[in-house]
Amino acid sequence: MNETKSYDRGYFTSLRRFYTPYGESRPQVIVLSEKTVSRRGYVKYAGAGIVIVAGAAAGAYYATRPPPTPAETTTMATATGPKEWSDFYKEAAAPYKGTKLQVISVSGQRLEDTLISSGQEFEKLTGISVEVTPLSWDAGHEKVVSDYVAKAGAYDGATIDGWVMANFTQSGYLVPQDQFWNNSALRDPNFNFDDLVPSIVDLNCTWQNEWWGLPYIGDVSVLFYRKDLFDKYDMKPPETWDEYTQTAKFFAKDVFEQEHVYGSAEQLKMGIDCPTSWVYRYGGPFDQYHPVVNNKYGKQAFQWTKDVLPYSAPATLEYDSMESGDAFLRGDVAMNPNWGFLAGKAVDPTMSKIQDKWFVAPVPKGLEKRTPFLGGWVLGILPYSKRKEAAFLFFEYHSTQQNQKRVVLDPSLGSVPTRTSVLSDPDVVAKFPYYPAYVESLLTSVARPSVPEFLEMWDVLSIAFSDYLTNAKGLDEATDWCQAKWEELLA
Amino acid sequence: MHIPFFSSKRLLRYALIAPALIWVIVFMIFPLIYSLNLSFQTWQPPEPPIYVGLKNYIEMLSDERFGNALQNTSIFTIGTVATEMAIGLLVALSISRLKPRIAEKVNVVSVIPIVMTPVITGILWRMIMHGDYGILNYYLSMLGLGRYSWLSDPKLTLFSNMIVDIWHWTPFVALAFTAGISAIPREPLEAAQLDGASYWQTFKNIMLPYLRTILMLVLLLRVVEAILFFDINFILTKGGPGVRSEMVSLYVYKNAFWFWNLGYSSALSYIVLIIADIIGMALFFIVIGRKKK
Repeated sequence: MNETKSYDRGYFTSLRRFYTPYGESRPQVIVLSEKTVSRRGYVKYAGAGIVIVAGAAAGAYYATRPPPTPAETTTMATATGPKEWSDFYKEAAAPYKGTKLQVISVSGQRLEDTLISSGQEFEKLTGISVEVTPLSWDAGHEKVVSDYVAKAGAYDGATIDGWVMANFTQSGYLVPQDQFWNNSALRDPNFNFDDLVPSIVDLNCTWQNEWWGLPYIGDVSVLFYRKDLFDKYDMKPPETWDEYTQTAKFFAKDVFEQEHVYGSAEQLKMGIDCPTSWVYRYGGPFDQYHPVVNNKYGKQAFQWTKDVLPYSAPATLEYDSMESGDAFLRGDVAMNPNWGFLAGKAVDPTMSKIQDKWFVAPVPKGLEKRTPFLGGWVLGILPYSKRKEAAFLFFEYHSTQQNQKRVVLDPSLGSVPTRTSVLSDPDVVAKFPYYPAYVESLLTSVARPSVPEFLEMWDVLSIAFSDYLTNAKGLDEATDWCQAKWEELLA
Repeated sequence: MHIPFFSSKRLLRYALIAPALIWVIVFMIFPLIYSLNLSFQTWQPPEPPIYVGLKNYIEMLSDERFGNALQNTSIFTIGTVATEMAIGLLVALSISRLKPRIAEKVNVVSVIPIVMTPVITGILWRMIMHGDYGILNYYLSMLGLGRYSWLSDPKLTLFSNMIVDIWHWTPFVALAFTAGISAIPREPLEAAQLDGASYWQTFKNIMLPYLRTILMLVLLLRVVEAILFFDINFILTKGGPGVRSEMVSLYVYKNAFWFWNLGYSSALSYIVLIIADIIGMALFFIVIGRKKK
């Protein structure tokens, strides 16, 4: 074997020659040591590194530099004409252009369509895209909690049922929004707070004087009834729950052969909807912070519900709010106390067989007064979102008067406004002549218990209510049991 | 052949099983350990978890609702598993007597309920059993048997859940037994036939011992699945009316995701795990017996 050591281009190598059995030689280069860099090499590499770093820094600067200042934009706007209401959002959202927001929306009754529609308009305006994930009540709230526990930041915002706001704000699942309202770059100077329905703001959007959510849908229990049948038999919507039972009996017994409608459809399925029927029958002073079941109001509400069962749709104990609404829209029943957003489906010919035959009245009076149940959803921002400002701008845009009017008048969407100006707008009232009854209900509504243990209390109430309606427990037994459980939870 | 520890062959072996091992650790072992740890705590977000020792387990002993859920689950498990095993075996025996070409087609059709997801199954049966427009009541009333509130009558809701589960899983049991029957050697069966044994004697003394392992496997799978029954229960009745059809899985779910009692729900789920384990081991020893040395 011959070996020649050499230094070539910084490598110490050995060139060896091997001789095969046939006498042929084969060269083999073996690296003896690692490459060392010469002084010239150092200079070359350092220069290249400086050029690369400088180029990267310049690129990063141009990619992330702030846009022209508002003064420049204003100058442009005034140069072309008067400022549009949406110009604020165009300017304010400019730093976030190209962002993609992930938002959870409650699904059903076309509620998610409203947010999707607003998202599309917002994207055209600002370049921020919005992806809406429609989920059921249970799944949507679970996702919010899971996102918080896992600190995932997969979602930027969500529609939150006003019922769970106390729980969610206390548990840290949402971000307080005062920080955004106090930021002049994000706060729309034309956003009219006084225009928002006060009860919705007080009971759903704020907690301990802090903003936690923008109003998405303001809803309240109202009584849907078959105006054509009531007019035919010269009847008025019932004023009291006793009259309600008598009216239901009339349709289910006296004129069933002719009209083939049952008296009512109730939402009594075990779960979150069941206690709604109890609240709007309560008819007395309702303490949000320490509600009572086994007083005269609570017991009477149980009794009235049971009284109407024989005259209701046969499967009424299986209905949640949507199914009871569907029974009304199929033309199966004459009355249905339900959430106001059912009206969006009632006017849709693909979803309703009674398009022009229904109207709305406030829920009947209890022992002392009407207690329509205030619902509604808010738009909350999630704590681990990396795009909170963009999400806030989108939610703020959605809640503007102009956008609310647009979605309410769109027949393909299901929405209930949260602004008194929209509720009393002539175009809106012309389309929804029942809105005066709706506004009256909003102003006299009662809210769910404002305690973090609300969901567990509501579950206990569902069980007691269900046991009473199915004759598993007597009235006193069911209400006393429920109250005892509530006292344990609130202790 | 001794392979050095850091040799490429050994490293290759570890590299090949690493993905599966990581999966098992991350998605099975870690959650088990984490939830066991959580079961000794009370956790109300955003407050940090607080260790409370055995408080959650002691509370469980006096929890009437958990007792009710256990009772419902026991009735449900015994009812569904016994029915599925009996009907599944009968169906498998019937299929085994069909011509192979027809048996194939029957097997393909019978697989349909198994491949439907539980959620779709629940929605489908909710529509079938609907009190107003469900076809089940329609056909019953045509036969003069009246109409029933399958999803809201306290006496029927648990039974309704059982019907759906039996419909969903009997084909699986039948399929497993069909495979087991087809693996039985022909010679003992033919010999028994020649000796004049009746069908029942043949079944009891020849087929059943051969089917013992399959029987244990199917029984074990079905019992554990029945104890963990959740999806259909949630869609169909949500445990109602009241708590008449509430199963342990649904109760655990409500504690975790409705009431945010994460520590208590972890304790509940651990107890359910232990119960399922004990039942599984008991079944194993009863059916298979101890191995003879």
